[in-house]
Amino acid sequence: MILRNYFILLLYLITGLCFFSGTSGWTETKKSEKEPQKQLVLPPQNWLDTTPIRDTRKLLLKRSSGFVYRCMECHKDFKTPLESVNEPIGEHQGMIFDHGLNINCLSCHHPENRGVYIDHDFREISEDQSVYLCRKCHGPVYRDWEAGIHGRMNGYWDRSRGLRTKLSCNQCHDPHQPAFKQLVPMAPPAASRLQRVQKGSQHD
Amino acid sequence: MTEQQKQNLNETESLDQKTRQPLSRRSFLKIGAGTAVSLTAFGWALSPLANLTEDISLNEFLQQHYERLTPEMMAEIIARLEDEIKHDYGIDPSIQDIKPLNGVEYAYALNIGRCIGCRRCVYACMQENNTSRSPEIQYIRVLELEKGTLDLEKSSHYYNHKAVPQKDKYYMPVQCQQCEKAPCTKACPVRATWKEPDGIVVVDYNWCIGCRYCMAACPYWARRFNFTKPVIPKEEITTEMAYLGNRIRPRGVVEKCTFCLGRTRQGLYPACLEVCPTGSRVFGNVLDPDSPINYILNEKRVYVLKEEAGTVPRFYYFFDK
Repeated sequence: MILRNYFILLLYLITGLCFFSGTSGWTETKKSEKEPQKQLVLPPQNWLDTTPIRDTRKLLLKRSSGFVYRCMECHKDFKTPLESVNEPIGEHQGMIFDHGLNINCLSCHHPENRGVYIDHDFREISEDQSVYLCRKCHGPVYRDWEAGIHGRMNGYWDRSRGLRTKLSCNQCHDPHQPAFKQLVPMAPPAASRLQRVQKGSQHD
Repeated sequence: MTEQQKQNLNETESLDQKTRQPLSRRSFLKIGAGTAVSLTAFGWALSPLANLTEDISLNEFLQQHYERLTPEMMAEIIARLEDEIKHDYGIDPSIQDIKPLNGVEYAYALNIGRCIGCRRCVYACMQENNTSRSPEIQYIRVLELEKGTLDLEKSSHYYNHKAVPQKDKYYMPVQCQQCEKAPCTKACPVRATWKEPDGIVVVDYNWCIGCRYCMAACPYWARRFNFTKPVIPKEEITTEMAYLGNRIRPRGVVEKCTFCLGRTRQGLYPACLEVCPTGSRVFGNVLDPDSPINYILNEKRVYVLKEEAGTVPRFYYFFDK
C-alpha cells in the first residue's frame, strides 16, 4: 500500500517536471524570437574607465590583423549609385543606415577618392578630420563642440597646467546611424530604508 | 603699632590656635570620606581618556580646527592619518592638504537633455572618493523622471532597466550643489563645515561631531553619514587623497561631494565628468570668461534645482540637444 502511494507521488513529480521544463523552454524560445538582437554597451570593469563609447580602431579603415583598406581598389570598377542604397553589398554587407534625410553615400564620401570625405565645394576632408564633415549640416552642435560643451572633455580644465582632450563626433556617434546607443546601466543604489518607504508609497 | 594691626595680630594668633587643635575622629572621617568620593568621581569622569587608543588617539582628541592649524601641525596630522589608514586598510596612501587656487571659482553644468541615466558617474565618484561600499555611500543620485514633468516627488532613483535611456523618460543626476548660501554650513553647531574661497563646501572630518544637523538642513539630500567604519576593498582604494576631500573617513562623521577637490584644485576634471559617456557634464572656472561653463551661462537657458529654497547653487541644469 505504502509502496503504491510512493509510486503515484513519483509519477506526479515526473509529469510535473516535464510540464514545467517544457513550458519554460517554450516561452524562452518564443521570447528570443520576439526580441531583436540589440547591441548594448556593457558597464566597464574599471569604474574610472574613460574610453569612448565607440571602437575607433575600425574608423581608420584598419582591422586588428593589420590589413589596411584601400577603398579605391574596388571602387575604381564598382560605381556607387547616386541614389540611396537599400541593400549594401560586399564589404558593406550588414550595415544599417539610419541618418534621417541623409540617405546618399556620396553626400559624405568623396566620389573620386572614397577614402576621404567631401566638402560643400568638392574639396577633400581627410579621414581624421571628420568633424569638418559633420559641421556641414550640424552647425549649432559644431559651435557647441568647439566651445567645449558638446561631447566629453578629458584631462585638465585648467589649460595652463595640462592638455584638454576632446572626442571627435564619430567616437560617440556611428555616422551611419548617429542616434546615441542605449547602454546597460550600472546597478541601482543598495536597498535601504528609503527604498522600502518609496516602494510603499508607489503601491498607494 | 596701631589698634587695627593689633587686632589683626590677635586674629592670626586665634587662627593658629584653632589649627593647632587636634583633629577630632568625626571630622577626620568626614574629610577622608569626602576626599575619597571626589577622587573616585574625578577618576571615573576622566576614564574615557584612558580608553582613547581603541577608537581615537589622544592627538586626534586634542586636534585643532582646520583653520587654526599651522603647516607643522598639519604635517604631523597627515603623517598620523597616513599611518592609521595604512594600519587599517593595508595600503600606502599619500594625503595632501591642497589649498584653493587664486582667481578660481568653480561651477558645474549638466545637460539633462543628453544624460541617459547610465550611472557611470555614480560609480566613478565612489571609486575616486573612497566612499564606503558596505554600507553603500553614493554622492550622486540619478533621478528618473517622466517626460513633460519636473515633479521630483514622482521621480525614482532605484530604476533598474536592462538598457537606458527608456522611452519617455529623462534623467537628472543630483549631487551637492555647492550652494553660495549653503544652509548646511549655517546649521553646523561647531563650524566643521564651511565654504572655501573657490566655492566648494568642505567638511573637516576630524572636527565633525556627527550631529547630522547639516544633513537635515540640506534641501538636496547631498550629505551622507558614516554609520560604520567605511568598508572598501583594498584594491579599490584611491591612494591619492586630499585632507578635505577623498581621504577615508572615520566612523560617525558626515561626508559629501567636494567636486573632487583633490583633482580639480590640481587643474583636472572631476571623476564624474571624466567617465560620462554622453558628455552631459561641463565643469570649469566661472571667473575665466573663455571657459566652457561661462559659454553655457551666457548662451543656454540654465535653471537651478529648488531655486525657491534660496540656496544659490553652483550647479546648473540645462536642456539641450
